[in-house]
Amino acid sequence: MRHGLTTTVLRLWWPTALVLSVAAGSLAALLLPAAVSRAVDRALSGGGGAEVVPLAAVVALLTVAEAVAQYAGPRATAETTARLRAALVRHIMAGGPHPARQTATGDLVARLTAGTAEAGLAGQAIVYAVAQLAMATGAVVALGLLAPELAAAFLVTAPAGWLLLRRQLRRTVRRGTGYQSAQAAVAARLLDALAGSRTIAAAGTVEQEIERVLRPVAELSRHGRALWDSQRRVAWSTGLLAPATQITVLAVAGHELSTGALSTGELIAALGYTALGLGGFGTAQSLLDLARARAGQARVSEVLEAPRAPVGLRGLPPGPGRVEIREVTVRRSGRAVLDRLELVLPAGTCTALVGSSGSGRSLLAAVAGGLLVPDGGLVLLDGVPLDEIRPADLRTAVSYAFGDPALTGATVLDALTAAVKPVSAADARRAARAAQADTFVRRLPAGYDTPLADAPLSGGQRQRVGLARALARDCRLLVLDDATSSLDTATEAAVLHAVDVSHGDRTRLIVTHRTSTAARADAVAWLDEGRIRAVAPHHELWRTPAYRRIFTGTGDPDGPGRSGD
Amino acid sequence: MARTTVPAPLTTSGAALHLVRGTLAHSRAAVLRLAWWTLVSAAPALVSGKALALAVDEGFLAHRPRTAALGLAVFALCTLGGAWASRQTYPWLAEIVEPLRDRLLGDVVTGTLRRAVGRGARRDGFDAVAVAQLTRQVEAVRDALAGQLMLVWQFVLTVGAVVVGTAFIAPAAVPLVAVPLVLALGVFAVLAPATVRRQHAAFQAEETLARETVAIVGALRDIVATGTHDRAEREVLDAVRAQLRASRKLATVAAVRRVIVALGAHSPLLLVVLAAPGLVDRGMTPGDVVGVLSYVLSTLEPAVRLLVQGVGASWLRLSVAAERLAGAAHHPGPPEDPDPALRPADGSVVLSDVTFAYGPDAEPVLDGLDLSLAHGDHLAVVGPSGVGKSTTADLLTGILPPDRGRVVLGGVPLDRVARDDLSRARALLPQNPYVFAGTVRENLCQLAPGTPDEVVARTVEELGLGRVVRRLGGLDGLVDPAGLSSGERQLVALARVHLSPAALVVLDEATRHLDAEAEQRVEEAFRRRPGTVVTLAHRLALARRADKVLLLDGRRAWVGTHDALLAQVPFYADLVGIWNTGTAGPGDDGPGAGGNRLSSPDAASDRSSSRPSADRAP
Repeated sequence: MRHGLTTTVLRLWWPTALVLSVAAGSLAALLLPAAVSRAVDRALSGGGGAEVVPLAAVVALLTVAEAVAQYAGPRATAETTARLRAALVRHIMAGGPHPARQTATGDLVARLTAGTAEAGLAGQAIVYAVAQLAMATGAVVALGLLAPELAAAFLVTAPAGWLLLRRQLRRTVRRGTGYQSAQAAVAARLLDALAGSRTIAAAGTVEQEIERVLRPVAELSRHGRALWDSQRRVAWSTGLLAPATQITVLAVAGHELSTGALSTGELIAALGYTALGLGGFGTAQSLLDLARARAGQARVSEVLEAPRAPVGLRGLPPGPGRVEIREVTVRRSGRAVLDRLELVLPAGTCTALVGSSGSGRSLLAAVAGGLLVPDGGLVLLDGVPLDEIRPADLRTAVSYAFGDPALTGATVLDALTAAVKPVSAADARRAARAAQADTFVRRLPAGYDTPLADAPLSGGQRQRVGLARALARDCRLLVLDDATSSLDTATEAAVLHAVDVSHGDRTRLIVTHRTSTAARADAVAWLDEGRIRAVAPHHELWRTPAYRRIFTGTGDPDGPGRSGD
Repeated sequence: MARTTVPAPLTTSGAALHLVRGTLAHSRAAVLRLAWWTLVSAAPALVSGKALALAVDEGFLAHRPRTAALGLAVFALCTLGGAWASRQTYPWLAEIVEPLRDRLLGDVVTGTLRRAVGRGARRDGFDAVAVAQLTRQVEAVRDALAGQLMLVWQFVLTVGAVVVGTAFIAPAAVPLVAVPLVLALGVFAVLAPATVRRQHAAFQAEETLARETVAIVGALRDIVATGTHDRAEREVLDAVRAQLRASRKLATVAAVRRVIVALGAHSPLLLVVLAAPGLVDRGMTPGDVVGVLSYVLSTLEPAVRLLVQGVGASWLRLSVAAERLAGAAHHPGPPEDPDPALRPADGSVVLSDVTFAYGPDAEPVLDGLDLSLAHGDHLAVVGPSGVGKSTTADLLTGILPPDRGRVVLGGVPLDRVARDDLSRARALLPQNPYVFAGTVRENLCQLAPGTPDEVVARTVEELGLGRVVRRLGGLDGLVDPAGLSSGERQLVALARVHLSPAALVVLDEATRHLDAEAEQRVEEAFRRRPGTVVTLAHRLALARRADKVLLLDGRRAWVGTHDALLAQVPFYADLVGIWNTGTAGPGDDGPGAGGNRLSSPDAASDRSSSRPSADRAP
């Protein structure tokens, strides 16, 4: 409670500082013309420099307030942005690899970087919009106080200019759309050509392709020049608006001066208030910023509002590694990919999971080890529901290898030792040997200490590093999700043999599309239309033509890893 | 996650300066005109103060409305003239900036594409995010350069006009305005390096954060599966905090920079007011005071604010974007053609001792491969995915040079063939067919420009593409790549290669998206076409119908007919078993005994890790 209070105070500190400093700055800006006017009149009447003190005080207030605002604004924005970012990161991590609402990586990254930064600007945009509006109102009131005719002169001229300006702004926006679509056309053509780079390389037509990609540039240029043209009109309108208002006010003020209703200093003040009043048009920009900030906020909260499962709190008591999948349903885009599926993996056995591509094999593999919390049903590991187990315990109990492993950390050794309790280097090397990865890792420039960024690994080599990572530690359940698909059969057999040696008494689930791998397993779970159609040894299932048909055409790399969804 | 952040050089102004200099040199005439009109736009400021002073002194205060009106009219005309002149600057600004943008786009597109097709380029190295970033950076350069051209020059002229104009009204007031201004510019110069440095640090922190985010989002499944999710989360949160720290430092500079406004614009105000009694004693009129103060408040203050808020940030954007674009535009020059260049005679292929690895220490993809094909042969290349089939295709077509050994096409080693001749002698059709926005004819005749329509029409019908071409509106119809299905795109690309004069055609899983019937039609069409065909096969039928099969397993290679390989190489039989549709493969009545051993389920309980050795291909 105390902690919450402290963070709330801390959170509000800089926005409050911003509000106060901008308010003080606006006040000082409104006082400045009046102070100048007093000081000038005093000076002209030969009254010495006494009136300079209030003027100096106003200037000092203005300087300090604006300097504080210059700091507090970005600071408040940065704090809000960082807070949103941290919340997003935590949310993404807690949502796990298979969140209910899938967002493309690029999109998610854009929300986390650009979206949060835009959202963070909201506070500043509101404060400045209000301040600008208040200052403009204050300036018009001040003109009225000097002489009602001055305010009238301002109010007559300024709105006419404003209408003119708004028409031009609309036009600029229209032109901008055309410009952006020409720009997008170049980018789209470049992307197409990059996707076809191998064809282009072979055909030797790169020069023609460059010409083709750049073809929309003529259109882009046309829109670009039109944009400059409308900017010119905007500048012309504003260039007329400000002086026209100024001169109208000046003429009226001059008349008042000649009648003695206004002093010389007050004429200068009238000029100053006119400028402040015109500054009110800047509110439009702040409102645009605010609209952008709100769009950013919407994009961020879309992610944050996705429900997230509570973290498990139960410890996992020791057990043999029996997995029970009860009535599990997983929906993707409204369709039940896994439909009230039932499967038991007896402790210490090896089960091959087989099904045609797109049947949801990888999803089931993810469900079995708790990477994906199903939409319905229950998964038990030694009698404990997976979603109730503490994450650290669950991740220690289950080890995964994937067809397209993403390797993390700085070096190859880091990638191999990634685990809840980091694995020893000796264990990592032993596992690398078992996964047939040791030879090529040692051939890398710095062996196991080679930075991942400098390690030119092929798909098959990455798979073997991923396998070694999974084999480097002990576990109750080992899931190989298409993890040997890029290995030739000899290497695959050697790896699977090593798995039998090191994890032979562990529960294993092996997703595969190879007959030889299916045949090695104690039993094959045949996934078909969202259900387990049969669990039996491979040679028994092989009698069924439909089962044999699964292995048709699977020479294709069928999108290992997440292809199941 | 990958903590291999190489710190970028701290000063990035080099690329920006280069760019600005180049631009100014390129559009000299426009630059001069821009400078002229900016000068004209600032000139009225010289007179406006005096006009205002006159209107006040001789007009309003002297109760001469006509003089006052005249003074105000001169003032109005001055500002009008200034506005009109700055209106004239825009076309010239466009004349500088628009061609610059076109040139930058040209450079970036050329560099990106040349690098993509260059040797050793990553085959999947295209990235929508990167392309979008490039477009944004080109825009950043356009906007920031335009801003710089307008701001800097206008600031110099405006300030000059204020000082000269003040001298016009009251020479004694000049030091009061000019000295603080010079001091302010000094502070600006002193703070500039720190500002740029901190802005750059903030920019880099932002980039690091983006990179770390991409890394964890991309590897989330593995991070969660290995239980390292707390550590990964900490690392990204560290990056978030580092970015926050950099933003704070930047905000500090922004606050300090506010002093420049106080010094440059507000202290002259105080000084003039303070000195006013003395100045008035020396003959300065109330109108003169109004004129000088209107300079300080209405002209000088906005200019100084603009300098402080605009110039620094926009210069940084310019320098960062210019640096990135210089990198994107960089590309290797086209390789030189051999001299004397030889021309392949036909589509025969001989590979001798061809070895290739993707790095000096990487495992070779091909090791000592020998292969010989007569003109007109049809070869199927077979092996598990990721084994190097596409690399073989690249070596065969000369896109990649072998590390050792040589590839001979039509009696000529590939490195002795000029690039244009090579493009005509052989054609490669990759898995991802390239269909571009253009007419159907452009797409089909890309490799054989000027092919008569009736020849094109025949090929179109032969490949079964007629329906698609008619739907698109005939040969002159426009193709929208996104509007075609994968299979249709493959057919377009196949027709393009079929029409080409190439004597060697390499099809890299080019019929993957076609159904069996369409695939057979394509295969027959290529049978009728003269020349050698190498097919990277993804279906058994393709291998069975080929004259020869090249089998790769990642370490070794075998060459032979389908039947011979099936009989002699258990690995091939195993592959066939995997591929088999269950109608004519092992397990039923497959011809090879070895094949039966490895792939039939009954024999597969053999858990030995060794496998029968096979003979190397000759």
